[in-house]
Amino acid sequence: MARIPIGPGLRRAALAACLCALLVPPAWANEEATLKAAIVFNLMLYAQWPAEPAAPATAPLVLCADANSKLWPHLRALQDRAVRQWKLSLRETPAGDVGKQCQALLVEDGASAALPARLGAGTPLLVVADTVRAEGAMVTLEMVAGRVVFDVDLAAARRAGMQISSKLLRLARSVRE
Amino acid sequence: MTGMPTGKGVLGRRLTRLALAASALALLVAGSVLNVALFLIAKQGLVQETTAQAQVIAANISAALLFTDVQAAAETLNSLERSPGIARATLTDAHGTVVADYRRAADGAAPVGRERPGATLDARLLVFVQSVQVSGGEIGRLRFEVPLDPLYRRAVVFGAITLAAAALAMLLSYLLAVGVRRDVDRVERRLDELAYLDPVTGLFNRHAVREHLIDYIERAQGRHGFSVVTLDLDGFKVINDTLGHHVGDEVLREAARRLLATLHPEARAYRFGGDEFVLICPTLAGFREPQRFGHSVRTALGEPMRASGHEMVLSGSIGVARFPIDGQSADEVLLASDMAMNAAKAAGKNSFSVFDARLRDATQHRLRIETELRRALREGELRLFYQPVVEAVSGGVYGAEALVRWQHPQRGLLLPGEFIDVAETSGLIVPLGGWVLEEAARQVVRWQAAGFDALQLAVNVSARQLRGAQLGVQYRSAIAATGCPAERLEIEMTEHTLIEDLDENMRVLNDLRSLGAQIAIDDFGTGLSSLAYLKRLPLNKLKIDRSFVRDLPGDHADVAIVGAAISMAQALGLRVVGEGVETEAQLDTLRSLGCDLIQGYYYGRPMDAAQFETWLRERRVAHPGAAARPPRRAAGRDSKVMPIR
Repeated sequence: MARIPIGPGLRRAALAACLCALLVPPAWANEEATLKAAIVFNLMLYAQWPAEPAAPATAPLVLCADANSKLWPHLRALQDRAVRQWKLSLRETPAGDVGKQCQALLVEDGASAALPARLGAGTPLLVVADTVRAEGAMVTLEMVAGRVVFDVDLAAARRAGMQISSKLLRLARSVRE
Repeated sequence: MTGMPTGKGVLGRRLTRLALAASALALLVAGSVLNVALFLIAKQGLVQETTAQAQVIAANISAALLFTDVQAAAETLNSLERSPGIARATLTDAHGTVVADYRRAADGAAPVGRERPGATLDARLLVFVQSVQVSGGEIGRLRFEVPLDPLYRRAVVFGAITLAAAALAMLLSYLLAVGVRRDVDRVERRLDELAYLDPVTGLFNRHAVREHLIDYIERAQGRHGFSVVTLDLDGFKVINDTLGHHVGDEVLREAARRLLATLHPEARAYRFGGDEFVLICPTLAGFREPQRFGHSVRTALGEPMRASGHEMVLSGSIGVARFPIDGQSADEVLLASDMAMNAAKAAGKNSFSVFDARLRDATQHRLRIETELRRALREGELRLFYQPVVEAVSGGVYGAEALVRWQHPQRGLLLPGEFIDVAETSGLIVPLGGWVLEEAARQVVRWQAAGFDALQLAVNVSARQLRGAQLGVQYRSAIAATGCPAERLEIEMTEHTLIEDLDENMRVLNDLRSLGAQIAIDDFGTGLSSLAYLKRLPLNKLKIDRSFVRDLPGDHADVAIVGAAISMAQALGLRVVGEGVETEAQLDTLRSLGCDLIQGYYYGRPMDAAQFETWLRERRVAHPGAAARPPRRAAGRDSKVMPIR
C-alpha cells in the first residue's frame, strides 16, 4: 500500500474559487453536502465499468444512495445529468442485490455493516463512501480543513472489475493498491 | 611582343560575367525559395507540435480542473519545462479565471489574452488556445504562448548555410567559367589574327597598323619614341598588269620576306595595301638615324629576284616619320610617314625621304587649295584666257588655245601652276575640265555671234578626264549646252596622258573624232614621241614644245629636230603648231621649216575674252589682206582662217 502525498497548496486553495471550475457547479457552494454531491458526480466521470463497451448509450447510469442521507437532496438535483454517454439516475439503495441494480453506490453513516453481504464478488459497482470506513469502498471522501479530499482503494476496485482513471488517482490524497 | 593589343578577352570576360551572373541569379532564387519554404514548414511544424502538446496537457489537466486541484494543475503545467519552446501556459476555468499559470522566464505577468481556440500567429508570437473538455463539455481553456524567436534564429542559420553553399557554388561556377573563358580567348585571339593578317604575305594588315601604333604609343610613354617607315614598291602595277597577279603576289611575298629578314627583331612589318608596306621599328638607332631605314630597305629590295621565272629588281619609295617628333598620335605619325613617302616618290623612283615639317605645310597648303578650288568651281571664280594661234604663212588668225586662270578673292589671278597639280591629285580636274570645255564652247559661240565665226578654240584635257570615257560625255554635253559646232572645239593632250592606257584612249579619241572634234598632241617631243602611236592615234595636229623653239634658229640640233618633226607630221598628214614663239627669227625659222601654225608672245599673250576680242579687231585692221592659209589635209572643209579684210 502506498500513499501518494498531495501538496499542501491544494488544501490551501480557496473553496469558492475551485467550485466554479467544476463541471457541476452548485449555486450554493459553501455547503459541504453540495460539494460532496458534485464530487460524487464527477467521480463517476473517471470510473470505468467492465461492461461499458456493450452498454447502450441510452441506458441510465444508476446511482444508489440512502434516501435519508444528507446528500440525497443534492444528488436529486443532479438527476438526469449526463455522465459521459449516460444519464444519471438516482435510486434508493435496494435491500437485495445491490450489484444487480446499481452501477454506483454511495455509502453513508450507518450503512457499512450490511454492505459486503449485499455485494456479490466481482460485481462491477463503483462504491463511494462518505467519511465512513466501509468495506469494499473504492473512493472514500473526507472533509479536511474545509476541503473535500478523497482516498482511493485500487485493490477494492480491481476486485470489483472497476477501473479508476489515472487522472483521478493523481488527485487522490492517497491510493491504496 | 606577342598577341594583339586590343579587343583581347573582351568576349571571354563577358561570358565569365554572364555565367557568374546566371549562377548568382539561380542561387539567389533557389536559396530564397528554399529558405522561405523552410521557414513556413518550420512554422507549420511549430503549430502542429504546439497543438499536440496542448491536447496532451489538456487531457491530463482536465481532472485537476474538474476537481479544482490547483496544485495538480500547476504540476501538470510545470511538466512543460521539458518543452523549451513554450514560454507561457495558462489554464483558465469556464469563467475565464486563471487557475494555473506557468511561465518559463520569471518576467512580468502580462495580462492573458482571450483568443478563440486554435492558433493565432503574429510576427513574434504563436498563441494556441486549447479547449479543456470532459464528456464533451468545455470546463476551461489552456492557452500557450510560443515565441517565434527560435524560428527566426533557425531561419538565420539556414540563410547563412545557404549563403555559404552559394559561395561555394559560385566559386565552382567561376572556375568552370574561367576554363570556358580560356577557350573563348583562344578562339578570339585566332579570329583577331585572321582579321589582322594579310593573307598574301602573312604580314599584319592595315587594320593592325593603327591598333599597334596606339599600343606602341602607350608603351612609348617616358621612353624614346619609334619610327614608322612607309614603303611603296615602284612599278608594281606594271608587274601585276603585265605578268599577272600571281606573279605580283609572289613579288609581294618575297618583298615581305626580305623586309622581315632585314628588320630588327622587335620591329613589325605590315602590308598596308596594294604595293604599300609599313614598318614600325622601336629601336633607338633607327630613331636617331632614320637614314638607316632608307639604306637597309633599299639594300634588301635591291637584290635581283626571280618570280615565276621572271627576273626583276625591286625598288621603292621610302618615307620615315618618328613618334613623337613628327606626329603625336597614331594617325598623325602614319600620315607623316605617308607624306614623307609621297615626297620621296615625287623626287623620283627608289628614293628616300625623312619627314620634315615643311612636308606637312606643303600638304596642308595643298589641302587648303583643294578646299578653295571646290569653292572656286562652285562660286564661278575660274576664268578662261585665250592665246592666239596664227597661220604661219598668211598671218591670218587660226584660233586660240584656252588657258584656265583662277580669280582668287584674296590672292588675285592665279596661273594653272598654282592649282592644277592639286586639281589632278584630288580629282577636281574632272569637273574643272568639264567646266573649261563648256566655257570654251560658249566662247566659240560668242565669237560667232560677234562675227568671228571661223575661230578654232583648243582646250587641254587631263588624263583623269580620259578615264572611264568621261571626256566624251563632257564634250557632248558642252556642245549640246552651247550649240558650238564640234569641229571648232579642239582637244589637246600631252603624250604622257595619251600613252597611259593607249587602247582605252584610242577608243575615246575615235569617239571624239566621230563627233568632228580635232585632236592635238601637246608638248610634242618631251615624251616618248613614239612614232608607233602617232600612226595609230586619230590625230590632227602636233604642237612642238617650246623647249625646241626657244633656241631657234641658233641651235642647229633644235633646227634639225623641229625640221624632222615637221616633215614627219606632214608626211602623216598632221598640221604642226610651233609653241613659245617670241621673236621674228623664231617665226621665220619655223615658217621656213614648213610649220603651219604659230603660237607665242610674238603674236600675243593669253588674254581674257574682252582683250582677245580687242586684239582680234586690231589685228584685222593691221593685217587686212592676210593671205588665205595653205590648203589642208581636210580639204573641202570651210576655211578655218578668219577672213581678215
